[in-house]
Amino acid sequence: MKFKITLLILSVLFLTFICVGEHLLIKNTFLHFDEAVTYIERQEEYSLDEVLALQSWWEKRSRFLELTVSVQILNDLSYTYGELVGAVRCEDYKSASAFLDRLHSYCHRLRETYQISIENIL
Amino acid sequence: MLTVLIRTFLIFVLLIFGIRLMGKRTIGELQPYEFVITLAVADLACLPLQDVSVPILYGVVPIVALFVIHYLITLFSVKSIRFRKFLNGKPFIVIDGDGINYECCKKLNISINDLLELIRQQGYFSIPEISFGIIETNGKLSVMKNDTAVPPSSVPMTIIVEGKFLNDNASSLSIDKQKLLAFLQKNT
Repeated sequence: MKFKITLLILSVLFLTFICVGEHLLIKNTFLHFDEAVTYIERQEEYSLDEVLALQSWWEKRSRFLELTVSVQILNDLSYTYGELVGAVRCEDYKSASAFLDRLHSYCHRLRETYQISIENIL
Repeated sequence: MLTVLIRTFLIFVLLIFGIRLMGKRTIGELQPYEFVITLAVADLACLPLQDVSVPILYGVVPIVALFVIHYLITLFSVKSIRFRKFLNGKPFIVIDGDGINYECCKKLNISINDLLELIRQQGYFSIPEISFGIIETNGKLSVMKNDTAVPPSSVPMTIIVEGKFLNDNASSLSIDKQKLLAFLQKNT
């Protein structure tokens, strides 16, 4: 009986940790990502170094996100970011702007999808 | 494929662990809520196995949550009779001294044929052999034997079920419908 109750408590703690952890991880990641994208967007000529630095940050963070977010969604985001890097490298700022808008949408939609709300529950 | 293989082992270990904790009952003895949990767990376990892009936590978290729910329900069921009754229902006496209780069978959505099948599975081939028959909360039939009754010498066949005359059974026994009805009218 003691063993089962211990197991029950551990299971509840595990579930709580996973749920709260996922919520915070996704919220903080995409909030930071969105802010970084906004910062890049405000510049007249997008800095390749800053774009690459953000990409490096994203690659590391997405490894953690793979625990709770579908790999396909993360890959989509990575592909878009790859296209952004290519556009900035070629100084095609119009295309880069479009990709930045797309990244904004990803950040907003993913935060909404993974937040706790009635719409998501239903 | 190796990823799928490793996930299969992990999910299998989790399921075995959880089902061992749920206790030793066969499918036929499960309460309704246990049956629901078993079905849900079976489906959830396949989710991360079918698609590698789905995180394994999408299978593990709901499975663990269902096992926790099962344990809590079991705990409350032990403490509260009302909760137990609400969750599992109550047993019903479907056969008593007056024979088959049709109203009870209707409430339980059991037809007479189903009931006769359950009786036969208990090893009894006629109603007079049984003093009481109880449908338990898990759908099984418990039977109290009538020691004074004489077992039938051959397999009985039903001729009238729920007010309907079964022509096939009657003709195989060479029973005429009109003669049978006249006999019943005379003796009721």
